[in-house]
Amino acid sequence: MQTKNVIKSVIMLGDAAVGKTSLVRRFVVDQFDDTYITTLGAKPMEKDIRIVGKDAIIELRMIIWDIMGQKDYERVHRDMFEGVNGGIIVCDVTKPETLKNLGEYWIPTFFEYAGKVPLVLMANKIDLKEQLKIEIKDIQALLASFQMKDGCSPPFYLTSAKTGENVQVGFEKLGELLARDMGLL
Amino acid sequence: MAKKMKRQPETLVELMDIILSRVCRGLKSSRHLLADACTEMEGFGIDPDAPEPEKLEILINYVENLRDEDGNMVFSAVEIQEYRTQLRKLTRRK
Repeated sequence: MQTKNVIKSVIMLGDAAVGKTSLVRRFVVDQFDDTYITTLGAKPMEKDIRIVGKDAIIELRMIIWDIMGQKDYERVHRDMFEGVNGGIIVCDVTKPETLKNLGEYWIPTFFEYAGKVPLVLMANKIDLKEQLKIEIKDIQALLASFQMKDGCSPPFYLTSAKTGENVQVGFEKLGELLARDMGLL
Repeated sequence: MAKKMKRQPETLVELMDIILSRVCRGLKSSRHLLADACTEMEGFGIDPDAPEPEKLEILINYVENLRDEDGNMVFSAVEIQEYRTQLRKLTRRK
């Protein structure tokens, strides 16, 4: 089977403190740290994943841009959205406003500057079971109003950067969507 | 290439947004340099929701000496001067 090497840039989107940095750290180095440090600007990390297609194995190097989540930093966001190939949109299941902000700011702004590229939603902090304030139907309702260029709404996963639940799976799904977007699947 | 600010910032947050977006654009193609610069800036302890003027000054002093992969300055002297002027104006207005 043929092997194809591909490099793609993706970006983490969502309000401050929803766990974007923790999700990237969990995926890339499989670690979690409770200490909260506000991200300033944009920080890249990378991880290689393997996707088995019909005719080829795709070795995908994912450059993951972790950006600051304060909505007032529109210039930083716009500059970083341009040219990326996909995104992970993140909300905090204990804070309903973080889901609302995905629909009102993050997804529309991202689609405007990056195009309707592949997106995956991670509803994060699912380990805080006693404090859940977002229901699956809320997530489905939000995503139904956004379509990627393949006409589908972004898929979603309930994740925990703390326990690792669904983190790998969510990033791999984005990898699959990127490969599909390139016509490799 | 260094550019003059098109629109004057009206708040310290806006000034910081302008500076950070220039850092990101200036170093986007040198990922490790951008990562190092952002980590360094995080260490200044600036609250992005309400940046303190003295910490913004530290930020401006830091970016003044930032260089890209080819060794070129990311910011021009004119830009840095403009940021300092804006910081003074916004701090007086507060």
